[in-house]
Amino acid sequence: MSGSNDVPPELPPLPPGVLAVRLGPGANCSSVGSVIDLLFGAVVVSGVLYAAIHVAVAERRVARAPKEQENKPPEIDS
Amino acid sequence: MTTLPPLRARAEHFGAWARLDDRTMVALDRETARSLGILGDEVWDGPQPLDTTGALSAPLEVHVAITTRCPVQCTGCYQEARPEGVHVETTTLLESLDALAAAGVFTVAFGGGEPLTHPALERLAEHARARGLTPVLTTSGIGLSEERARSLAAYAQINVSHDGVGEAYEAVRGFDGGHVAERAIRTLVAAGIPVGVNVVLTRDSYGAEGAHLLATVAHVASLGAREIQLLRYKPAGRAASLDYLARRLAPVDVDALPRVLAALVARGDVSIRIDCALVPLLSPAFAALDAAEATRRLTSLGVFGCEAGNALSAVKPSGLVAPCSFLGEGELPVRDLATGFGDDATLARARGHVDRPSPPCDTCNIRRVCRGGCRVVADHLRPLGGPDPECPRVRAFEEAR
Repeated sequence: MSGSNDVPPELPPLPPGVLAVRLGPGANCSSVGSVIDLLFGAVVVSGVLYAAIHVAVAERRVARAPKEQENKPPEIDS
Repeated sequence: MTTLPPLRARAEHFGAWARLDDRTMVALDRETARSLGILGDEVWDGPQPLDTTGALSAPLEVHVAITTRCPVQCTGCYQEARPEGVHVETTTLLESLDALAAAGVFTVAFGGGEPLTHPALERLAEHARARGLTPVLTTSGIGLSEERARSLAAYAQINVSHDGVGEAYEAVRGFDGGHVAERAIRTLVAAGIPVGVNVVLTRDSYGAEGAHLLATVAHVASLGAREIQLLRYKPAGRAASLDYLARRLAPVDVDALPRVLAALVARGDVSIRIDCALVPLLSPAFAALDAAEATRRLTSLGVFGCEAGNALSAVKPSGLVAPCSFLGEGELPVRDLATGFGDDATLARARGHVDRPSPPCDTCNIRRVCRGGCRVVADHLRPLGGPDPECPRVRAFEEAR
């Protein structure tokens, strides 16, 4: 265990274009929660997770490209 | 080629929040958001922000109290629920979900009272899904049958409250419901529903150096829980009593918290989630970083402090919107959330607390994330105003004066 004043370890950088990752659906009904696995050093998990996010964002970009060519609105609920 | 489901996304000043799946949300910068077709020109003024702090256009997550009925009367219930409590009308709740979806909310968390007493719980989840919302639920587990569990499959996750193995549960809640909670965890796991466990941190549930908490986490993980939600004990409802001071974590417990959290994360078999009110208790762990780095470190991993009236809001049984479940509602009906979120005085006051820091919060390097600590605690202990007195940095500051 680390001491109470030890800074949690630095993780690899997030995927390009991603400012934040927020995990879990947030299942509590009274106060907002935050998963801290990564904050407290789940480095291996972060590598796998970031790769999956990078792929997911890239797939969305690719999926959108044909629609742009057809001049269709994006499938975005925004 | 696999067809991707529509991306639920919302433009914000930094770019956009987007949900990739039930368990993953990402904040994208403007360029990436634009490449995905998210249109944010109206809010993308000025240079690209480096992090996600700041006022949002709508909550990301809304907590909806669907009933004040509960068969038990827990000692610390913030809603003061009771057996003769009443359900919110189903049609009202369905209209609320429509309003949340229209405002761009991502997640809706149903609570009570005991939500399992509400006859429309299944319909609420299905309606939420149909509107693009991710529904989740918190329950004591009382009244959960195998059949009912299977009917709740539309929920992305269900959290069961379990405040400790052995005598801890009864000490915290005032009745011995640990076996009910454990049966509910097993039943939900068997039904294939992701299960989290809520643990309220009191001296009884925490134990010396977190020993009781570590034992509880090990036990519920063995039952199949995939996530542990740790909640700070807050003086609201029945918990706003004289024995709050004897029940809350002692300073020595707070000082040990980062070590205990690191030990829990190191287990590796369950995710550990802390609530917004616990973030200020971590401030010593980030004291060695400068403010920008500490903020980036926390925000990049989606850590939220007091987001009352910003990323978080609540819908009370009255149908009015509150900054969070513990704070009082203002005058904004949920049906007007999409148009009234930015201007509602109650929400704006809660959202703006971070911009009115008092010492020592004004020099704290995690202030933009912590956002001034828990107002429920601070307002209870200091009705005339002041910082969250249970924050170790505030405590050290005041002891030095």
